[in-house]
Amino acid sequence: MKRTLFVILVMALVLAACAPKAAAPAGAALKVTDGTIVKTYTVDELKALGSVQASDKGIAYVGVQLKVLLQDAGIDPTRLLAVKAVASDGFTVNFDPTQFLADDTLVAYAQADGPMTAADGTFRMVLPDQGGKLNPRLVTEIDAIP
Amino acid sequence: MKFTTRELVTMAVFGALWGVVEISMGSVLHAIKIPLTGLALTAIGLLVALIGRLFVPRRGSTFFIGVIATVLKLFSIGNIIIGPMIGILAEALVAELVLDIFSKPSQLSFILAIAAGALWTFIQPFVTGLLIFGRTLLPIWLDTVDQGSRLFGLGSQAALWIVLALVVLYLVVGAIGGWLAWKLGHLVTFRLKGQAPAAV
Repeated sequence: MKRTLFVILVMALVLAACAPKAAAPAGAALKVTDGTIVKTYTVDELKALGSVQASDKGIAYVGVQLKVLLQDAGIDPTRLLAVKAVASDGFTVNFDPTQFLADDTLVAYAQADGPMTAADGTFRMVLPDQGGKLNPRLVTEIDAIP
Repeated sequence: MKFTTRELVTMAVFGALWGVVEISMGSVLHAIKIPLTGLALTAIGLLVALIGRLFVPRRGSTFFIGVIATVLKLFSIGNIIIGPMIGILAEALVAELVLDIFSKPSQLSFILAIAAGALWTFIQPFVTGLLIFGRTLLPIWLDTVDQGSRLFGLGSQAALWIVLALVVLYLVVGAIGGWLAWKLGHLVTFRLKGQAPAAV
């Protein structure tokens, strides 16, 4: 019994040790890179690129199309294999071309009826009708994968 | 195959226990963002199911327990649950198939059953991503490599090593779960019946 409890305790400790580090504060700047090109955007700079609306879980968001953002950064989205969104807590999700080239795939910087919530952070991805995992919040970086 | 009423009730109890683990612990583990939540839930859920197997040592009982847990998962609040529901059902099926290879429950069969179930957790995103969620293979592969890269602190250039390490990790955690299920199953049986499980 003691040995069993010891094994459970060790497993719990190992899991706890694997917990991600505390989330870095979501910055007010979004980094877009393909490894060679690196460009950062503020909310105002993103607003200047466009304001398209798309919804996730019934909430309408305003943002810029991901493909437009990539083009503005000097990256040709049609030549990419995938695009990765990186959140401030280290979570990442990769999108395939049908997703990152879609007209309603946004990097959102506001809600339609006001600013972003603290939970959403300064920037978040919006891919309508996709799972929650594909709509990360607190996005700090967009990585283009050629 | 026909089960007696007593066996059906016993399987329902263990299925309910697995379901409660999924609903309660699942929400908590996801909320506190512990990595490999799916693996932890699989190991614990199958541990419960395999203890149930000691009480109903017949073909199909583990899968039946999984079906009950899957139904209960429907009552999860909030998030999309189709993935986890498929997961529970598939894990129960995989464990059942492994257990059915052996004529009667044994420590080895338990270890192999949960290890195989845990390995399914690793494979599932590729299956459901392609067949249900309309994703392509590359982003799922990249997500897997990124997850391993964060977990092991390795650069994503070592993709094959990362994936290999993840597979080993899933198998080891599953094997430990199987070993624990065997030990705890015996302890529970001794506590309840004062004797070793009838299955052994």
